Amino acid sequence: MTSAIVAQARQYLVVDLLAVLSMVGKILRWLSLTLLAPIVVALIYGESVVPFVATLVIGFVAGYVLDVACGRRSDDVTVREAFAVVAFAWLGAALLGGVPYLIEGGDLGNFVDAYFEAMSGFTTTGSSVITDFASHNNSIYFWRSLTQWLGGMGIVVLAIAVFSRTGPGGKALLEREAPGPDADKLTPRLRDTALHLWLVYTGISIVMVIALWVVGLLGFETGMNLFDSVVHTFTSMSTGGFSPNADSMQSYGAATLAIVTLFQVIAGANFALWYLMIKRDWGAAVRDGEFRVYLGILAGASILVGIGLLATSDKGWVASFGEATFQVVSIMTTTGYASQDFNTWAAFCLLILFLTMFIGGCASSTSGGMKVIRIRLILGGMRRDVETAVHPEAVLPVRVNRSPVRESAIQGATVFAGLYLAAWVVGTIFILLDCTLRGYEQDAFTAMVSAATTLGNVGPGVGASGPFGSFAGYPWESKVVMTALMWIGRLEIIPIFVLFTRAYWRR
Amino acid sequence: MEILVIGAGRVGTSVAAAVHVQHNVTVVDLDESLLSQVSNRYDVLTIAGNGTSRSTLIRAGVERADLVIVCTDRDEVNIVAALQTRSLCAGRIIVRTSSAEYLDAWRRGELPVDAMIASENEIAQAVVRAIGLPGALQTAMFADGRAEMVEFEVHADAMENIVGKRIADLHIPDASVIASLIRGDSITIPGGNDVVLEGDRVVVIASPEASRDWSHRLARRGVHEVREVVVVGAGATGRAIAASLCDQKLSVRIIDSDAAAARRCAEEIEAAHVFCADGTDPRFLERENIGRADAIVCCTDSDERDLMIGLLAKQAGVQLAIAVVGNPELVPIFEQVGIDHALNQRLVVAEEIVRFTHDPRTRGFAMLENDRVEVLELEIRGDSKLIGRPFRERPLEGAIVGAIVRGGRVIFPRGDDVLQAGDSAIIVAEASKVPGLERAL
Repeated sequence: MTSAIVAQARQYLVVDLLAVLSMVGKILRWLSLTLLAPIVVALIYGESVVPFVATLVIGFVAGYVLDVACGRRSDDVTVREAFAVVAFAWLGAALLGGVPYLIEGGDLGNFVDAYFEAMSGFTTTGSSVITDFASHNNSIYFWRSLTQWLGGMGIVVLAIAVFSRTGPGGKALLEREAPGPDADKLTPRLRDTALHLWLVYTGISIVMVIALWVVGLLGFETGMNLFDSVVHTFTSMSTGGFSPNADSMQSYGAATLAIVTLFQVIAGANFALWYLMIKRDWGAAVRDGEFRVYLGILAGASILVGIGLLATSDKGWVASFGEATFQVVSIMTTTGYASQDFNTWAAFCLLILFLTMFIGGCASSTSGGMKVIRIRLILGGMRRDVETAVHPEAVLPVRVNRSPVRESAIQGATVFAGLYLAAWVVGTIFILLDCTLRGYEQDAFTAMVSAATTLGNVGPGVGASGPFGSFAGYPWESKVVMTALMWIGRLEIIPIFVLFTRAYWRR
Repeated sequence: MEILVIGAGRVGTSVAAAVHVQHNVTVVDLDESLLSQVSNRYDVLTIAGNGTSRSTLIRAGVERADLVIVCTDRDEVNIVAALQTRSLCAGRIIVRTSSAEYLDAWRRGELPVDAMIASENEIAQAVVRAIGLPGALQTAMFADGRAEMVEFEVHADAMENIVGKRIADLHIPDASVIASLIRGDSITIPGGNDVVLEGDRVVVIASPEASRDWSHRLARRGVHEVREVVVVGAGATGRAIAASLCDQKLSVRIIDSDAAAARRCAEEIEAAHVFCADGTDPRFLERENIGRADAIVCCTDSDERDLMIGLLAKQAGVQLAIAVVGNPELVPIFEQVGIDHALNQRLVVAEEIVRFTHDPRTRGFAMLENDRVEVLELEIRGDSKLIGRPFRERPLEGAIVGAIVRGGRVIFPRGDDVLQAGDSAIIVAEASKVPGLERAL
């Protein structure tokens, strides 16, 4: 009976939606197992395990039922279905991730806020609608950070790493989810690549936990205890930016902040580089042009912000440039911690921070934004086009890392930037319109930053939604739009926009 | 000698042309129309078939061949054919390649063939030497580039006027030897009392530095050092030339009308500026100031276009025009109408390959004056009668030793120097005397 219906449904659809949903079901089923971690934490701290056990059961059963109902397809999809799988899997993940908040109640107890917080987690954005930080317990904060850590390397990549076998569809899935224009395959087998990426990610994370914890134990400054070290590692390595502290990083000492800064820089770079360096190719990062430009932009922006701070405050040189560096790294890698309330900084400093939100980190990192490589491609293309105006016959391939790039890559980056900016403009307009209609006080810059910070998966905005503030005050329609912007930004727009085209659904 | 040529393209045809008179030549190719062209023009046997197939090779008599020359257009085919041949044939195998990587692999001893010849590289080196030595008519490299053979024409309006001077009165740089004096059709080994006349051609064997010195002195007034070069044609030859010129730190612009070729060239050679345009379009040439360049190298597919572009460029004020000509018979005509150097790929490659029909001790080889004079780099046998005799006694009849390669050092001999066992000598000789010389040395 069901099989007859399935067969009939398949005839009418070009996109095999059943295969898509079956795949999403599998991914959610695997993802729900990660709830075992907060259960352990809850047991250690003697807190309620109900939210997590319930979510685990709901997620596992729902995933299983979805998979079975759609005919239990193999672990592979075609390239076309990959778009829908990735888009739906991320929507589903945020749904699952929000269940513990709903069960816990409190300031995350309604659907829009719980979904916002969960999407902000998985997409490593870090914008929060929490208003009362004291009301949540350790296990909830642990889960909130864990969603960022999982989302950083990607939930689909995680699923591929545990799938028994994947074919061409797996590559397509990886490409749809991976940040940046190309997904680097590190090993011949896709599953090994996914596994290696997760191992590198986990390995660096362990090093960071130990570093933070040891500095905390030495006790020469306000450091982190083990719990804080773990949750902040989760949100640094994923460039997420959630913190269980209402004042983010403000209370920690300089050595702790330096470690956090360093690991954010690492997380914002291409993980293929760290993989190569672990394989003893020590020069990999030095050779990589994108990495050098990334460091260059970080340094340049830090100096500019530092100059701004030096001129407008009575902080000394060390404090000005130290704080500037921490904040620039945190914003540009799209993490979004704050060591100071940068809301109060000079307009010039805010503007530089705002602009770095659009750049983001490197391709195949855990960061958001447009990515340094795309900026490079676009600038290279622009420079070339200006030169061609003078020498119309000149043939000038754009080079990255001294090797020529395909014209389609430049075009792709330019189209991406166009779509990215369009999404930002539309988002800003919607938020501002909604706030105007709802009577929520909002100036244009704040709305622009809120749209940019959610689209770029950065986190903090300015004004009421500033680094020590909350997005809770926004009307619910604006929160929905921002949730959508996070989703669009994390999957780099195209996999989602494709779903809204006729061509995708037609033969 | 039994010679088997695999590949009847441009290079294969020129090899057949160069060796078919003295040797028995068989040519193998897949394309029967190419084969019929070869067999109509030269006295060779042709076999239609795939040169990588064992049965075709056996049919072509590979087992009896003394020399196998593999020169199809495709590097991979050449290597497979050479490997197949190696298992069937005890003779020497020469492989043409256009890939620097394969050439390096052969130099490291990873390919079991006797020689690899990169025709594009040979042409590129010839162009680089012509550009580096303004005033030189012809150049060739010996002893891995540590010695050069250069032919100069003597002009009264040169930087240093040597017309009417005796050879003994010339200031000859230490690292060089005047190997012969060519006047009209007569070739002489010069003695100290010979007088140089206007229009004579002197052949010099010299170190690269000394040949540059010669070139400065014998270049006509107003000719200056080349800094900017335009290469027209971005095919394999054009790319090899442009890459070599870029290595010499010259400013290089490349023009090709084919968009894909131009793109490929631009991707390959980062230092060069590539244009996708018609090299005969006067407006383009004017807009890009092609006339301001010091030299132009024409190497398009078409000889007519090369000539046209070269002449247009000369008109626009380019000092040196070089053309890479497909048809060897056009070389003298090009030079008559105003192209400074016409180089022919076939002649260059044929030179390299003809070397292998010589004594196996021959390391380097060049032809002058339509093969009336040959320049050889030859290893001296331990039992040669000439060892120990000072050069003042003129031990070689009709030949002169221009340089001696001894243990990695190059010596430009004077009267008191002697040959030693184990030396290699660079010898300039009349072609007819070469077989006798090879026996004596």
